[in-house]
Amino acid sequence: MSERKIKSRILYSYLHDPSAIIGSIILVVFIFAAVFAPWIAPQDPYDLEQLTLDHFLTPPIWMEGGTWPFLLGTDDQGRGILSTILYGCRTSLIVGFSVVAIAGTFGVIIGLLAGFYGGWLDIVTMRLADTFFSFSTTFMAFLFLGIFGGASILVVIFAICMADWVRYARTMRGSVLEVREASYIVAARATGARDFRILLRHLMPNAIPPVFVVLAVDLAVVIMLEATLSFLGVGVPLTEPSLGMMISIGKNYIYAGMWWMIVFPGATLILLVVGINLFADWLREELNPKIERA
Amino acid sequence: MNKPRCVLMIVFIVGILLAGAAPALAASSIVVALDVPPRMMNPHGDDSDAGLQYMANFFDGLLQRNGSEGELAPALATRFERLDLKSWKFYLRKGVKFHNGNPFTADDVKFSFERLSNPEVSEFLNTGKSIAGVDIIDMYTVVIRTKDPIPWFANNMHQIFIMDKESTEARDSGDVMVKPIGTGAYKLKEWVKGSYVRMIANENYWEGAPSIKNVEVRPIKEASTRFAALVSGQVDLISGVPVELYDKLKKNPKLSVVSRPARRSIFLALGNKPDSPMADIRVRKAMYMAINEDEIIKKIMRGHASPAAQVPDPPTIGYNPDIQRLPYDPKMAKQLLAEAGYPKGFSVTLSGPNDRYVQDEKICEAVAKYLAKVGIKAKLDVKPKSIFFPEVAEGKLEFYLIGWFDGTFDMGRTYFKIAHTRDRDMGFGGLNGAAYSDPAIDKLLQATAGVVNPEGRGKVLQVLNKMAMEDKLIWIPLHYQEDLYATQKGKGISFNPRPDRWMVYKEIMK
Repeated sequence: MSERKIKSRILYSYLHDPSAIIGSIILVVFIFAAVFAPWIAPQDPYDLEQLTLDHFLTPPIWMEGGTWPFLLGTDDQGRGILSTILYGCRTSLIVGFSVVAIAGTFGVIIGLLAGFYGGWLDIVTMRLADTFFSFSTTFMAFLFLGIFGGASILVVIFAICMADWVRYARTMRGSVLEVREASYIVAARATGARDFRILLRHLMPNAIPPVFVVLAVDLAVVIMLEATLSFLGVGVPLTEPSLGMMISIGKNYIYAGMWWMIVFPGATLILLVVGINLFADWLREELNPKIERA
Repeated sequence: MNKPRCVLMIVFIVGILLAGAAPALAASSIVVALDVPPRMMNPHGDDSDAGLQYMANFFDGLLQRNGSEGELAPALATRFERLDLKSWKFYLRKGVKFHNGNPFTADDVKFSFERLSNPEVSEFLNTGKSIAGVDIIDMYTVVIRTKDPIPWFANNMHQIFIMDKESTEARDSGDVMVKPIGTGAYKLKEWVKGSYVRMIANENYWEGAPSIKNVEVRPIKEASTRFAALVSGQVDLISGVPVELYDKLKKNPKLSVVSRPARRSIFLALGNKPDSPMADIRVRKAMYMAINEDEIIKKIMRGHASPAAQVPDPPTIGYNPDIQRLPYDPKMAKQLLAEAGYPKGFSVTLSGPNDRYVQDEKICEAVAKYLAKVGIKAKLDVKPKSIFFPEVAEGKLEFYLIGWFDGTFDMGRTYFKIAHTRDRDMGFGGLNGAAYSDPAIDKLLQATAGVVNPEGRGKVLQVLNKMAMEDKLIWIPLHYQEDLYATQKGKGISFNPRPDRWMVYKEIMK
């Protein structure tokens, strides 16, 4: 099968899978909103010089007392909910993509080396991975945040990476073990290719597809994890926007009937995660040869 | 029918008969939700009000503070007199028994006071170390001698609880930590850590048995969960009603809200390290004037606070009614900053707890906002009290939010803890978290310790207070809190909150 044919087959299946299209549209819209937040958002909710308490606890604009530009109302510090959500998505996606990139790269390298060389390297890294894996990721991230102290987005990314690389390492290693004995690897070896060349040119491209599946699913997991940590108060600092933190603030006002502070960020988070998952589902079916499409 | 069953049956029938006529009789129990659990059952091991309010039910002090004004009243001592500058004579109450039946005597008083200076079991080391000796005159008279004159010594006697010498010495320390044996109005029935504390009335209490026979206290840290427990009828009384839910509560016909002005003031403490911007009085003034306290009260406290111009509250000796708040004036603040050489402001870290005072974290956020408007970049560092307070005790903060009220009603004691230059050996400045230091304040403060007659003391402390708040601006005062409680209406609970926020169940009637 030529490369062009594969491409067109993927395109074909994408265009015939409504959930993949919806998922990717949601994702694109979120990325667009996050990138252009400063231009779209009616207010910069984290510019302390501009922020005042004048419009605190304003309801959404269609309710009595709602005012422009606070389309979805404001929270107890006078931050517009819509603007905060837009900026919050930025944080979510920055954390999400950074973790996936960093933990993914690290995990893939570990998995590749462990699978290819085996021996003590394999034993040490995989037992370490097993140990990490036996704890919940939330707990691991919590632990690292406790050790390194929170209050910075970089620390949050680092903590989640520490807990998250394991998924990639294990997937990559499993995949490498399968490919390692393939005839073209044996052939490459027979021609006297160096390890480095085999790893990079032959093993990596053929073993990596399952990792993409993990990557897509993991993006949603990491975004949820960041929200969870911020909700619990150990995530990004108070002065940074975060959906998890908005939900945490909003929960204090549920009984007071001010639902907009929790419903909108909550719904946004769900939408984002569902969008990513729809897309990831399609990707998994496409890239995982073991799944037969019904 | 055997005898116990027969009795039970009669009780049951009588109970049913009485239930219609006198519901109060059948229901002499109460379930209370508080914000903080007890750390231990050792009355000297935790000097926080959160812990002492549990101990006050199991133990008595030589004196007690009663009712809504918190006046000093006799308890285990029927009266006391000051013999000279450094010695206090207490006449003990006769016929009082501990929960285990041991009689209360001067030996127990001597034992309890000597225990205060043992760091393994006591957080009242300041008091413990200030005592030179306890002399037993006879079984019911003691004289306590202090090393230095301590004008407020007796004022503190409501929170120094008396333990039973015999049973405390006989039990191992682990048992003492979980089983309180005191003379108090309640005995501990059961304590399940993290779930509840159950108390049962001490029918032989020297003041007469309390009105409510069974008390269950459930510590529920999360304010909205505590509120939900009340609304759903699981608990009868809660303290620490979240201000954002106050209006909602008011509208609920089944609940009633009790509020009272609290003694606690909330303020910002600033360091004055020689090279830092905050060493300049103009900068301190600018920070003060940049903060819109009226808006904080109106919007963050939802009206449940009153502005403060100083740290002590009106009943405290040393409160000075002449001290006025500086006006909110961001323009003037900018000008002052420019004069001080910071036209573009500077950066500072604002620390504070996020689970200790009403809206503490929100106040910090608002302060950061106000300071940003005059150019000062305040980095927020709010954290749980379990991390924050040790940092205050270590004195390594720069600028922080804290609350205070003095249980002894004497400003001098407060100032030694939070204003005096830090001095570990002398035990001064232990909670002076930003290491503020001013020799003039220290000198005047030390001079006040020698003034013992209440009138003269009031005057000299007022002078000190004025100097601290007007000439030196040691702190930026914000407001006095208001304590909010809520109860189930139909249950006939009569509850008058205390100024110190302690929950003392013998004071609640049902």
